[in-house]
Amino acid sequence: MIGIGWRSNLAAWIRERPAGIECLEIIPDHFMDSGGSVLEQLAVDYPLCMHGLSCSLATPGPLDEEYVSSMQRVARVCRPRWASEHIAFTRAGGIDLGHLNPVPPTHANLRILVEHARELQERLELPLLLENITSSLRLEGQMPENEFIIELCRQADCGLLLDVTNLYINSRNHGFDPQTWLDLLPRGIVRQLHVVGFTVDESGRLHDSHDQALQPELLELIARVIHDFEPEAVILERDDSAARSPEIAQELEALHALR
Amino acid sequence: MPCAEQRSETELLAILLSSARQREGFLADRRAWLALMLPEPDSAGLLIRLDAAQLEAQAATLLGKRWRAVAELIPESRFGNSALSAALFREYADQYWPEGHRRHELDALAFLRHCQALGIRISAAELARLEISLGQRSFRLLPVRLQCGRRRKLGMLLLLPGCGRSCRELLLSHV
Repeated sequence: MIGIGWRSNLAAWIRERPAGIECLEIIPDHFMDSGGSVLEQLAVDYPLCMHGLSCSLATPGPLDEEYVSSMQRVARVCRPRWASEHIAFTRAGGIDLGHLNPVPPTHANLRILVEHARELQERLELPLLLENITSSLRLEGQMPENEFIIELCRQADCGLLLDVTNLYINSRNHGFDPQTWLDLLPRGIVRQLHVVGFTVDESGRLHDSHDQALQPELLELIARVIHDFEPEAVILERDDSAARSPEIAQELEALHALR
Repeated sequence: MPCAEQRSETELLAILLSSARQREGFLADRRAWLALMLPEPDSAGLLIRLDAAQLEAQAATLLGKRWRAVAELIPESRFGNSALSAALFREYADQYWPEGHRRHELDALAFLRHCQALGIRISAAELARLEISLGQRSFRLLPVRLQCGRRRKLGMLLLLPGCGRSCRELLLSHV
């Protein structure tokens, strides 16, 4: 299935059920205060998956009770096929950084992530996928990043939400071959993809600004991943409020052509 | 900052990423900074080897993402100079890290109040919208200038809580 992340600026277009959208990803944060009826209708119109942003699975200590309860409430309303979260921390030491940050691939962090991923999966009563992030910080640990992710998914009994854009950005910013990184992944581990274009700053560094169309080199990598891993869903993640439906429809068409 | 309890490397990373002052102290003398933070500074080997440029880049990325989210919420208050308002935001951002799923709105509101305290002119309507949608104000009545063809008139704008997070706006009367 190919689909997009639900955003309020695209809501009217999504309601029309355009042909290019086969599934939707919803972010629970968008529905924590209201929007129950919108969610119910989306669940009627599309297969859904739910994507958490702020569980901060890599933070030592208990999970954020309020956030997990909100995810549970949203899941009860829209009955997604699976949920996903990031291999990252967003808060620690009493500070909510609000965005995703990496943790070193160590055995201690692996234990924390496995424990939290298992707990979240049980509490949501849904299969859980874990997503690789992009980061300017390349942290050393006790194993390479891809080995860490494979071990985490295996021990926590989770699938991988492979963000192809994040992988591509990291490979360019930190100088490694994304295909070599992918070669280690077992078939069957990748259940879903995230894709969106990147931006390049004046120093040549790539950023996941979530407001650009997919670049040809990225489409090439996405095509290889789709061919090699056969994910169940590919989600286009455009976050910019200026994104217009014709442009997004065109991007979805390009993704459909890769299958 | 008091020494004492054993902090994880993740907690120390959060402290470093959230504060330019802490990063400055850390990068000036990593061992001394860690000795202030940890009873056993040698346990934080990762931080000793941390790449300074990457640390700064990650901190800048976090601030950039925060600023983009805030800037979308206050288009009228960006003073027509995005570089100036981004610089002002960087000055403010170290002091406050809002929490929860409405952190972008809380951030935007705190930033507008910070600007106001500095005597910088902001959009009163944007401030009121944020206060109302966050439940910090029940209504606001604001004078507004209206353009009717080639004539300008004064009107009153009533801002009220709407459904969920929204703020309802009614143009009440022409004076």
